[in-house]
Amino acid sequence: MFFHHLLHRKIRGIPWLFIAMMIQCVPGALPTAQAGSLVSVSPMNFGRIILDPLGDTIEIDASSGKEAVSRVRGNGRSVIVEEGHSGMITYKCQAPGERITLLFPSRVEAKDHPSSHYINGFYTHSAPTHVVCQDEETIDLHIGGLLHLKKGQPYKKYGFELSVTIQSDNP
Amino acid sequence: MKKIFVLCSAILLAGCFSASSLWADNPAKMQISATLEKSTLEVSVDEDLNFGTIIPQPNSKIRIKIDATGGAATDATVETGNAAVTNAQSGKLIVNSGIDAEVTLTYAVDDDKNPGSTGDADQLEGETTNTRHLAMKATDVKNNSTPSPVTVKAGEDTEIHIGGVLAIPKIDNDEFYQTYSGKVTITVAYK
Repeated sequence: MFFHHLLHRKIRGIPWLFIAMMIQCVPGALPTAQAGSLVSVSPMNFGRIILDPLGDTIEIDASSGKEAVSRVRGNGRSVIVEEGHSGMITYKCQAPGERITLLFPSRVEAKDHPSSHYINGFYTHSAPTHVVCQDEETIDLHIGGLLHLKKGQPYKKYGFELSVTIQSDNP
Repeated sequence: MKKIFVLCSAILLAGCFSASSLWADNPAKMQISATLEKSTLEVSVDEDLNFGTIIPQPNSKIRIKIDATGGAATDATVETGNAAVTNAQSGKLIVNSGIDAEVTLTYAVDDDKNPGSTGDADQLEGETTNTRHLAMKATDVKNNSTPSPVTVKAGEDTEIHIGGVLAIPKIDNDEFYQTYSGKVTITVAYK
């Protein structure tokens, strides 16, 4: 009935052409249709550490964009007996020029001991957090951070969960 | 009316081509782990502290000193009185730490009369006649041993040398001539 009504109206072609083109534009402006996608997430591990009873800070510096290993920061006296490594996010770009930005929390705390050890410094110790895709490529983003170990905490394995937002933008 | 409609459509269309920006948020959860171990601090006795064989002058108070503050000592000096001393040597501990660290040393001389004492009454006991004693104060052990704190390197043996002062009272009875022994308890701890 509606189309029948339209067909019998005195319509002029040009305005309807514009409307049709506008409708064609709408899906292109939606956020997800042509964005890249997350391929995989590999865990970060600070390794096995003999801890100075006074506490210490352990560092994984992946800011160069390459995989990095854990080391004791500054003049810390702890010993890393089994080396840890940076984590990695693998992302598939959709198109050249796609801009990727990583968003991190300011710190994450140990899962079962929220007031004990924590990790921060993700922005300064991870791969460049703004990346522009050159092609429909798959890129590896290495993630590091600073693990702050406090004194007087149990000697055990600690787990953390880092929530990262990968924001993609294709102008 | 038509002109306005065409103009608005053109503006919107231009916006479509020029200003549209694709964007999306991909959330990711990364697991992170760290395993912490306690550093071990191992201490073992490598050499006993030995004041050697002493021939004291009777009826005089004598003090025999082994000074190990600068390292191992292989002889003793007579601080007070008159005596001949042979075969004296300082004691030696080996300390091994899992990390680079500074460790503190504290001393106590086991004393049957005053268990756990670190005061003036600390004594060594005669092995044959245990009513006879020679005084060896914990404070003298501390003052004549490797100074505390001590820097240790991870995984490397570090030597701690133990000295002290032995006080011999006026000898007025042959029962004094015997072998005396006791224990020094040395506690090594992370600073």
